[in-house]
Amino acid sequence: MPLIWDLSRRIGERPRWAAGELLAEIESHRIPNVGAKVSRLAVRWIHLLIPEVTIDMATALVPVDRMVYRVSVRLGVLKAEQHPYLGKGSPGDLAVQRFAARIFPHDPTLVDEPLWMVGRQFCDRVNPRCAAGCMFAHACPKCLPDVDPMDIGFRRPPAERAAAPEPSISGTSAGILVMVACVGQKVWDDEPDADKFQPAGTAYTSPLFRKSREYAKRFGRAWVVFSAKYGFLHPDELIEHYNVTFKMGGPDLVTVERLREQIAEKALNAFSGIIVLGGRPYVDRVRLGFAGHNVQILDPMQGMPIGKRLQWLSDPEPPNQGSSGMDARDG
Amino acid sequence: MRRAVLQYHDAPTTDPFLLWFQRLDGSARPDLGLRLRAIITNARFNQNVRAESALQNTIAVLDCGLLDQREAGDSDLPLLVGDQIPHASGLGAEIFRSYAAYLGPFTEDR
Repeated sequence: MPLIWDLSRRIGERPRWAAGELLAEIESHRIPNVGAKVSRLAVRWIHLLIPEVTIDMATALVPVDRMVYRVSVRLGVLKAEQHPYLGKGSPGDLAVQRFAARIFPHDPTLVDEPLWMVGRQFCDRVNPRCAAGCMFAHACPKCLPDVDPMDIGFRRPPAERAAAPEPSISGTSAGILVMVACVGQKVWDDEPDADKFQPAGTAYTSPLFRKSREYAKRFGRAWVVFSAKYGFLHPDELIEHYNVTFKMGGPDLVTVERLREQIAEKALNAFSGIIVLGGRPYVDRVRLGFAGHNVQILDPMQGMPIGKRLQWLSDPEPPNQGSSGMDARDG
Repeated sequence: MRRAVLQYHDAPTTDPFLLWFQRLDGSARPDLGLRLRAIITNARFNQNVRAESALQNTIAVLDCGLLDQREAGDSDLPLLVGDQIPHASGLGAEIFRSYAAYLGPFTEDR
C-alpha cells in the first residue's frame, strides 16, 4: 500500500500533467504487476474521472499490441510487409502513432480501445467477421483477410514480451492461454541440417502439433508450448533437440516446482482460463502447477485418442469456460 | 473511421468501474487521494479478472478502509474474488497471497 499511497500523492500534487510524464511517474513507482498496460489504463481513467488533474493527452501514445496491429493492417493504416512492429519506434509502431495523431491530435489514444475491441470481437486471425457488427466494416478495405497480419509483421521484442500477458484494457478478462503439448516429431527429424537452436513454436512438426498450434492462434489470447523437458515455452524461445517424454520418465523432465517458477516468471496466472491441448500427463502437471491460482483449466480433448484429436482440431468448438473445466485449486 | 471511433466513445459506457466511479463521484465525493488510489487499485485488479470482479474487489478493499491505511499489509486484506470463484470461504488465503504482491509492503523488492 505505501507505493500506491506515494504514487497517488505525487499525482495529486500536480494539477497538470502531460500524458507521457504521468505514465513515466506511474511506471517509476514500480508497483508489482503494474506494467505498461495497467499504467496506460490508469492514465486514461484519471483523465476521464479526476477533474482536479488535467492530463494533456496529445502526447500520449497508442499501446500497439496484437489486436491493434491486426486491425490497423486490415484497415489499411499500415502494410504488414512494410511496417513490421518490432517494439516502440519501429515502423509499425510509428505508422499507428501517425495515424492516431492525425485523426485525433488532442488524444490519439482514442483509437486504442475501438481497435482493440474490434480485434477481439470481429477481426479474427483469418476470415474476419466484418458483417457481425464491426464498427469499421463500412470503410474497411479488409486487407489480408486470408492470413493473420501478425504472422507477417508483428514481432514483439523481448523487453515487451517480459510484460506479457497483456492485461485487459476495456473491462474484459485477461483471456485464455492455450498450452500446446510437445510432440516427438521435430524439425531436426525432418531437416537434419536445421539450425541447432529453433523457436519452440515451429520446432515441433507433427500434424497434431500443427493443428494444435492453429487452434491456439485462433482461440487463445496467447499460447505457449508445454515441453516435457523445458516446461512452458513462449513460441519464440529457442530450444535444442531432445527426446524425453513424461511417459518415459527420467531426470531430464521438467519438474512441477520448475513449472510453478515459470508460471510466476512468465505471469501465466494472469489469464482467466487455460486450455491444455495435450494428454493426461500434461493436463495433470498443469493442474499441479497452477494449484492455488485463480485460473480455470480446460481439457477440451479429454479422453480422445490421437485420431479423434486430429479430427476435433480440424473442426474445433470455440472455447467454453463453462464446460469441461477444472478449477486449479481442485488439483 | 473517425466518426466510428467518436460514436464508440459517445455511447454510454458499460464499464462497471466507470459507472460505479461516476456514481461515487456524484454523491459525497471522496478526497482526491482516495479516488486516485481506487483508480490505481482497480486498474491493477482489472488485469487479472473480469471488470465486474475487479470492481467487486476494489469495493471490498475500499469498504474495509484499506485504501485509507498507508501501512496496510496482506493480513488486512478482505476476501477477494476471481472470475471463477464465488465468495467461497476457505479460499481466502490463496487469493490473498495472489494479490498481496501489489497491495502489501512485503513484496516491494520483488
